[in-house]
Amino acid sequence: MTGPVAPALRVTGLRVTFGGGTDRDAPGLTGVTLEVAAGERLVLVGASGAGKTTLLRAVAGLVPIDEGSIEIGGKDVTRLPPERRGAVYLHQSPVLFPHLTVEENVAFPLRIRGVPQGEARKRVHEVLDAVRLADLGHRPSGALSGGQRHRVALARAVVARPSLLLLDEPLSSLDPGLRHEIRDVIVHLQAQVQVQIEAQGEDPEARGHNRAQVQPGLVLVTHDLEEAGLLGHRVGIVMEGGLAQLAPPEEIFRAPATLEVARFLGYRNELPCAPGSGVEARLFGGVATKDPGEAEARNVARDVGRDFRAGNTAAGSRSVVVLPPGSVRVVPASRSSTLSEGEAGEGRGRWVPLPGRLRHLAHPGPRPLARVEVDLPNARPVLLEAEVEDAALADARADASGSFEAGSPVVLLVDVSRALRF
Amino acid sequence: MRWATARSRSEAPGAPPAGATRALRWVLFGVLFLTTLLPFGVLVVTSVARSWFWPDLLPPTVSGDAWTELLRGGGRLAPATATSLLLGLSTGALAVAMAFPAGRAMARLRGWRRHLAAGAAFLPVAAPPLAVGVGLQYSFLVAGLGGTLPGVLLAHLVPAAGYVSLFFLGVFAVHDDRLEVEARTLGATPAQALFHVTLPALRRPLLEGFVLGFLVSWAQVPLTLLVGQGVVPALPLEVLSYVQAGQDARAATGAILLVIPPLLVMGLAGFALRDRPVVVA
Repeated sequence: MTGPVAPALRVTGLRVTFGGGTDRDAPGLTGVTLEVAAGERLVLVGASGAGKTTLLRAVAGLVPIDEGSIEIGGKDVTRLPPERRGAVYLHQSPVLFPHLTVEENVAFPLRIRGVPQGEARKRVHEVLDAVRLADLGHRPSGALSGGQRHRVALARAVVARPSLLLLDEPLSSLDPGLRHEIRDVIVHLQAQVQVQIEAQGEDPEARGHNRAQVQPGLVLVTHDLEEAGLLGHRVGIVMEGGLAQLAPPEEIFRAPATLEVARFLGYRNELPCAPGSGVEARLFGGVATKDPGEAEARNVARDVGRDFRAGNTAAGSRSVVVLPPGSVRVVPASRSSTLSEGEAGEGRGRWVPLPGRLRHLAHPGPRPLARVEVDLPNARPVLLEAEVEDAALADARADASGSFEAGSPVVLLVDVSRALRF
Repeated sequence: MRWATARSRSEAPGAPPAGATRALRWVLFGVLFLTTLLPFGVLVVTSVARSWFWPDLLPPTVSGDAWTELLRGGGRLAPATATSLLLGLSTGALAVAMAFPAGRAMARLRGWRRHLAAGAAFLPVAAPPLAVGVGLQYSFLVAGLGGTLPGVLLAHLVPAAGYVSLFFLGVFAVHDDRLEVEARTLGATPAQALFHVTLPALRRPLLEGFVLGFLVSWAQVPLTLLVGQGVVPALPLEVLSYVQAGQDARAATGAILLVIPPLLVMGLAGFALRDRPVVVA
């Protein structure tokens, strides 16, 4: 190997229309540009119909594209049929060949490539071992449980050592226990498989002779944010046929690129800031706040080829402040005046109190969720949500003057250093 | 435990008593015997009967002449059976070869296009064979196919391909075409996907389609008569001619022959598919 290896996947300016490109067709994907490094896991998330599966199928060669180029393992595959792309596409529910046994299913990619029987048998046993199905090799594929079928499909996908794995919602039909198991299998298999990818060098002639042993790239589609965070080295948010943001999961959650992305992530606490309303002054008071613009926006523009943020900021002078989960705490009104700075903010951030009235206390998880109506200067009251911490509940119980009854006065403490302004 | 289950089921509110169920079962067996096996038994007796007239319950004398003639290859039944077998097997195979892609293409159509295509496939099935035969007779005479075995084969293919296409339309309507997609991304060319995945996975419907095509051809009288012009000796035509001539023993022997091959073909197909999944995907 003389240079860095080519990316497992490079998509440039991809445009796909549903239905073959006639005038009446709705755009499926527009201007999608992304790279997946060898050994990297990119997770695509987005609402239904956003274009995630279309992107995956376009890369696999199962959907005709209108514009753009696709490289897999350093080779331009834009005009190649699916079988010559070096990428395996797996459907949401595993599709095993019903007339073949488990072993025969896994051996299928090797058989059609003409791999000698001895070598094929060895590789099949290795990969079946890796997914802990070595004992079930002779079983008909129809006699497997759901989890076993998933493992066979994954084993079959990697046995031919493709440069790229494309998994379309592989965990969505599984129960939570099985989902955990298959997630581990995916990570394990990707780490085990070694594929040959072209090394990139200065000399184009020498490039073809220099191949590096690397792990395959993996692109996985899901609509589950937790799954995306757990599996992905990077997460791509697909919206309206484009990539709204492409970044490591921690960055996505810390600094969503647009208001739409923030909403997709489930950030429900929004404060509308009309010009002159004084909301921003009340919250920030001249303090420089965290603005997801600039660096992240530049990153998005470079990586994605589409500046979502520019469209947002150009929309007008009205802006929205989004308060991410964990940046809002609720305390009884009686307790707020006695909180020290350290108590309120656990030593970090700048906490601004917003008085309000408890509308409702729900129990969606281990901690109660308070919905609080907050009065804003020169604006309509807004409803904000905050998890009620154990300490706040204990305070409310201990202090007769403070409570979490519906209608009781409470105070929301907002960590403005984590607030996002769009 | 099975006894307990059966008992509790029979004692379930609203369920008929066990005795009534048993009686009904025997009645149904009786009806089946009278309508299927008894006529077949009468055929067997007729094939060996000599001078058997009403009101005799059984033939006064028996003779194996008709069968001996058949086994020795004499008479007209043996060559007619061979011709019919050749026609049936060829029709079954060719109908599947034509109907498999046709049914697949029709299943991929949507809305009025699919209805139109299915209607076109149904037309030769819906039209009376006599009408189809009269139409084909003239065309085949012009084409020089009248009175020839290939002509009769082509004529049989008209309804057979229609039936089998409609059968495959149903098969492909529920067939999971992700199998081919998966095979393609695993590295299979379209031909490899067809021969290594689609055809083996659809072995059962393929054999069933073949049997259907065989049966359509095997019992075909009007088309064989009109296009074959009496020159092509198919078994049903010979049976008819023996009936018309009053040669009951030969007619019965031919009728038995008409029954045996379809049973054999279906039995063999069932045996070949005994371990195959019923699902088409």
